[in-house]
Amino acid sequence: MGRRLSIDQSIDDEELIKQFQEGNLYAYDMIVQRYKDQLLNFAFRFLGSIEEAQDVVQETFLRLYQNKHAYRRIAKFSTWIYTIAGNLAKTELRKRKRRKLVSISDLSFDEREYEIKDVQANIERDVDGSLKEEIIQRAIDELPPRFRQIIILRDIQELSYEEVGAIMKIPLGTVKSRVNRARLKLQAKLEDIMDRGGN
Amino acid sequence: MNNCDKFLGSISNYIDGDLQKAEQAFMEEHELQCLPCQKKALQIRQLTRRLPRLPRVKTTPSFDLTLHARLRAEINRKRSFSLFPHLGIVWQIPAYAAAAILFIGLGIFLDRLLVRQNFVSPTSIVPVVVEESLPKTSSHPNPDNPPSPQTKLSHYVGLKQINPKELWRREGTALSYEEKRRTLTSIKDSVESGRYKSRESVLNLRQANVSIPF
Repeated sequence: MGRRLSIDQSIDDEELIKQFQEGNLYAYDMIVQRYKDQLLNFAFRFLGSIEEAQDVVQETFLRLYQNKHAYRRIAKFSTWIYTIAGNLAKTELRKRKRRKLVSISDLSFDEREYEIKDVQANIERDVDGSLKEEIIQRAIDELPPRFRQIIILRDIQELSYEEVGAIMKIPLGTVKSRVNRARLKLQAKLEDIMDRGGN
Repeated sequence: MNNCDKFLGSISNYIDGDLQKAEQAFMEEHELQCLPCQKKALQIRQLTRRLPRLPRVKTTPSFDLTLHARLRAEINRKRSFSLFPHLGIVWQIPAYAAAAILFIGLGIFLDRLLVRQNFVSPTSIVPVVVEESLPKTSSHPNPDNPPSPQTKLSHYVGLKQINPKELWRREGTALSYEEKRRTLTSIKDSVESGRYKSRESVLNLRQANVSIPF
């Protein structure tokens, strides 16, 4: 399999990926351990499904393994791996939309009405502490992907504006104005969900 | 832009404390005066405090096992299909392209080398064919019945094994009778003088009792 050298746990990400590029698989394992939960949270908030999020994170680490030499030290490793995960999550979202389009168009009118009622019933049924999280997640799910991604990176993952800009490949000014719009939209969505009876 | 639009346009920076003094003062003043904006600011403050505290999901124990299985499958797939197993996917395509160019270049080089050494593969010999309609014995063009200038050289003789490039190049244009005569004469001379070491060609020429039709 390759070299397996012991690595100081405090070593930074950039040094780890360098060692992995030189063939040290233990460095790869350490990267996986460091990032798997962070990336899972990001993907889970983006997709709203734990199974799909796990798939996306696994695919991210697989891509990292396959394309380890594509990383150059000019960028922070964390922004690079978040970019891969973000792109894969967006692809998953597009696939899901296509699947939904097909499955909903297959239903008769009566069946569609039943599906919508069922979703609303779920919101009203779980009136406990976890409801709020569900409502927030539902509001996040209703945001357009570019606003959803920026809210997750900035407000849930608590990355800096500079890191968010590097991941989304947009300038700092655009990051700030998009965060502003995303927060306003999320607040409006939450109000809307509450008014529909989600609280 | 009215004051509410201005307030909402900078609400994130205001909440993050990322404004100049004058802007900060305007925001504080507007928040005190405008109830709808005050409500929005309050809700966004709550939201930005709540979002980082959302429960964190964790990978299941099977995550690492599944990932390792996928990696092993990937490594095995690479080993069995790739000519360049040590290269990443990004470098595989250029590597295959370079290999293809090298392969083609080597082919061209060997082709030229063999032509220079007057080697013709026995398997590439095409029997020499002489058109029956051509005059076989006359050493001069028949002015009453000259062959058509459009007739291709390959109709006179199967020349591919002798100089396919020249034949191909020249057949692209309509040759004059004089040009065909010169080409055929030079080919016949080359074969008979042994410049092209194709014994079969010489034999075929002899057996066919080739006489150049001019």
